[in-house]
Formats: sequence, structure tokens, C-alpha cells
Amino acid sequence: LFGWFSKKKPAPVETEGFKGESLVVNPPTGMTPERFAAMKVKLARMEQAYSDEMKKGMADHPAVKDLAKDIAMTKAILARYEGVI
Amino acid sequence: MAFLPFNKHKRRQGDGNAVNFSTSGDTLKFLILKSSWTPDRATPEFVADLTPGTYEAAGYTRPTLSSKTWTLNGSNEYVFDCADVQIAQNASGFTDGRYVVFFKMGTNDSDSPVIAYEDMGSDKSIQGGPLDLQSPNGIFKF
Repeated sequence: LFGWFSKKKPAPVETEGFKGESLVVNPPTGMTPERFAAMKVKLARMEQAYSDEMKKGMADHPAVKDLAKDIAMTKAILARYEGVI
Repeated sequence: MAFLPFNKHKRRQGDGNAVNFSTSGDTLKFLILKSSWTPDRATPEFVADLTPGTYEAAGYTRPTLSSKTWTLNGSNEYVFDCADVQIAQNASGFTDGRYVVFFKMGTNDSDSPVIAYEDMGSDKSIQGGPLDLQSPNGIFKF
């Protein structure tokens, strides 16, 4: 029992670096459950990025304005399929 | 396959030439190389080093990445992602596009540093339809 309590957790080791992800080339058209789930994750990323840009005072940057439009469009698409797919 | 970073991109990230991946950051693009290109992670630093005059696929416009995001996920990783990319159909466009190269746009190919590339696994054509590229898990994590 003493040994169990005194056992130290190993120190975290940073083993991370650049981890490339894969593109999906010519996916099927139309909404799929996988596509729907991926769009939700993308929406969360876009909203976080938009919030970060607002904190930096970049509201007038053209790319940030485009991001705002993309957020609205993505929300509209997700709303159309919410509960259906 | 997945995106693999070029060695000189890694060097540049630490020597004062880092890419700004945020939404309001650098202009980032894709270009398509033909299957005749021999993958080389060690040598290229700029787009010009890829010899695009010989190896770049024909009949398309290099797409600019929009809605770029650089955000922290729940696993202590920053994720770079962007909106889906579509390369338009062109009846006289490439039939041998195989590698997607991710790069930072400068003023020309000689000052546009390459970041990473992905092997699409086989030749892709835009003669019969567009080439759609989606990134459900992002482009890369760090």
C-alpha cells in the first residue's frame, strides 16, 4: 500500500510537433453525418478564431469580415440539417 | 497520406521568418504539382525551388485559403484549418495533379516559402469536373 501511495506519476513528456492531417479529395456531394459533424467542429474553430481576432482589434480586416460571413453561412447550413441528418 | 512539412519551413518557423497562420495573418495558398515531381522535403524553401515551370499542373488557378483558423483544441494542440477548396473544372486542365503544396504567398515564386505538401495518392484530373479538397480534421496540428 505504501508503495502505491508513493508511486510518482511520470512527468509529462512533450512528444508533439507538426502533425499533418489528410485532405479528403472529391468527397461525395450532399450532406452526410460525417460531413455534418465535421462542419460543427469547423464552426467552433471559426467562432474561436473570430473571437481571437476581435480581441486583437482586427474587425475591419477583409479576411476577418469574410470569416464572419462564412460563420453565418455555416450556421445556416447546419440549421437546415439539424435534427434531420 | 497527410501533409508533411518541408524541412526549411521548420527552420523558418524558428529563425525569425515564421508564418502567421491566423485569420488576419499571411496569405496562404495551395498549388498542385504533377505526378512527375519527386517528393523532396529537404531542398525546397520557396515555390521556385519546386520548379513549377516543369512540375506544376496545368490549367488551374492557385487557390487562396479562406476562413483560416488557428485555434487550440482539447488536446493541447493548435489546429490550422480553412474553408474547403475547389479547383474549377477545365476541359483542357490537368489530368496528372498529384501533390498539394501548401505555401505562404509572397510577391512571386522566389519569395513564397513552402510549408508542407500532401500526396493525394493518385493522379487527379479537372477535365471532367472540379477537384474538391476538404479538411475535416484541419490541415495540420502543432
